[in-house]
Amino acid sequence: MPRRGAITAFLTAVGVVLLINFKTPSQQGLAAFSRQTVTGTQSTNGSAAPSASGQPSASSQPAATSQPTAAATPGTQTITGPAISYFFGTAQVQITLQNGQITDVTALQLPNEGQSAWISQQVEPMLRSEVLSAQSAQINLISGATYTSEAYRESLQAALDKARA
Amino acid sequence: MAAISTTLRRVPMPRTWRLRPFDIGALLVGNALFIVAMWWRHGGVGQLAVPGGAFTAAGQLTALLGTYTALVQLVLMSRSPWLDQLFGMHRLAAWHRWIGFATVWLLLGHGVLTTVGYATLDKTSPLGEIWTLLTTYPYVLMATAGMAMLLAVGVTSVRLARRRLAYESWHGIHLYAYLAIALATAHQLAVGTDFAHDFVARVYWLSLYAVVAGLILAFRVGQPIALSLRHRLRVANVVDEAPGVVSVYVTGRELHRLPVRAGQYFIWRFLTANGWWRGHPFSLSAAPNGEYLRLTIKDSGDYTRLLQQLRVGTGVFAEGPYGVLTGARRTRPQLLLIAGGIGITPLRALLEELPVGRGNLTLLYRAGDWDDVVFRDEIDELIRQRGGQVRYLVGRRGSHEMPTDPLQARELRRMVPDIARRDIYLCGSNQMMEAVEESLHVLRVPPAQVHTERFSY
Repeated sequence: MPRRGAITAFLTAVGVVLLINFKTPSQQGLAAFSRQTVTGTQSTNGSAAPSASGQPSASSQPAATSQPTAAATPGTQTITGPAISYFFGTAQVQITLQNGQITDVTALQLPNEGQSAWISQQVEPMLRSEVLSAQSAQINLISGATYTSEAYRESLQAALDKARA
Repeated sequence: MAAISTTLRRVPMPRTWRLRPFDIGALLVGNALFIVAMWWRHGGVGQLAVPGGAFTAAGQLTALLGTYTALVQLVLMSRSPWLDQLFGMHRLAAWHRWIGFATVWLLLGHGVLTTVGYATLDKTSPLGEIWTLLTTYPYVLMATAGMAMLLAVGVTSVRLARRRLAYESWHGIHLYAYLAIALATAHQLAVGTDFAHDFVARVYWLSLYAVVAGLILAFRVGQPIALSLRHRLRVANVVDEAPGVVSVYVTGRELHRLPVRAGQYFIWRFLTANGWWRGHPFSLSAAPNGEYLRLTIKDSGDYTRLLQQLRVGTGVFAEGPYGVLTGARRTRPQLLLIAGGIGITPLRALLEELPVGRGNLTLLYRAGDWDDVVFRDEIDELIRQRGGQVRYLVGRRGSHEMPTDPLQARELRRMVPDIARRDIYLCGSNQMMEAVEESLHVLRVPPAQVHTERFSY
């Protein structure tokens, strides 16, 4: 019996180690996200925008992209979309356009409480890379975060409308 | 003589704690209310407006309460001497059984409700949502593995399965409950609505874990190690008492300082190649005397057979003492001891230790066969010294010498007419004890006068 117990304990330990090493996508970017606390409620064009440097996104831009318009090169616009309230909180995005191209999009606000915070942290980079490749608000809603995606898209669409007005 | 016989003398316990059952109840209910309040504050029924919110909110509450009852389960089984003295291990074990099933149902409910709630919110199917939860929510896979372990613990404890399993297998599976509880912790802190962003809630929750871990380490690990180091227990002698029954005499250093009373038991581990890893409860079968501890074991399985071959000098690891079948529970000067089979062991020790006036002591000793009667000489001698009386009720029920149950109410009243005015100490098989408790109920013996200890659950 002690031998059987030892074998079982060993196999259990192996299983636990495997479980501990299993990482979800959001855990891989966890360190980065926890630094990037989304702040700023009503930042207008030109005010200091949060840095996007903590993002693990594949198409990550240098931190300098979201600088105030005044200091930027001609043809660069930074536009803040409206804050969209929905059940879980508020979503608000800021886009950077260069000669009409979307070069960056930052979430100024996303729900940051409890389980919604996890959703926010997971979906933000996904939504961002979708926007950068679609170059419009015609993005796919992220499964598991339908409501957040919709609010994000709404703020983004409004910002784009403002830019192209 | 009359003056002595009306005096009640209790045997005080060597260690006592100023705790009442009410304190424990208040602590349990208080924490439960605090947890519900926490749930309320972090969403609670306010979530009902969200699609699937009723499921999500219920999933959150079942998670909190299920985890809480799981921690309570660990406390019940922490071998805390405080809880033992208040309630007795057998009662704690009975509660553990039912709270255990409640825990499994609550946590299963959490899994199902949360999956359905999130699936409704995401407008996906529950099956798809399971995949999303396992692969994208941090530590949820780990918690799910824990859930599977807890389920195994629950299923193997259902009476039908429990009967088919060896004690050791059942117990081995039960140990996985610790792992299950540990595995579930990470996902609570990472994605739990109550903890991910509330520092105070997180501190409270983790301190619950810390207290429970402290109790387990103190009483399941620290206390037995300290006892063994202090007393260095060894087997001093092994004596045959009857066919298949042996007494083991254990000696050690400073045994007079061991805080134990007659009627109590230890969980014993004999440090042999094949015995060190399993502990079993055995009562002391002689009153503690500062020189030796004696336990008496009936050959009823592989383990007891192994003990019968114990060598003198074998090291002994003892956890305890536990048990509430002691002289501290006395309420009356008059005593009745009722033993069934090998259940005589703690009563034999009490027979020696309980203060009692002459004529106020009766022992009824029920056994199926004269071969099952142990300590006959010792009992007769003690009864003579203490001026009591003993009746051996020997024979299979239904045989010509024992046509009816000698422990039924009518027979008890015939043998002990003043039974309702006595303290009754009862130990035997579960079946025998249930039958006697039924008889005592019929005879209107106040429950506070009935003292029992159970060893099989």
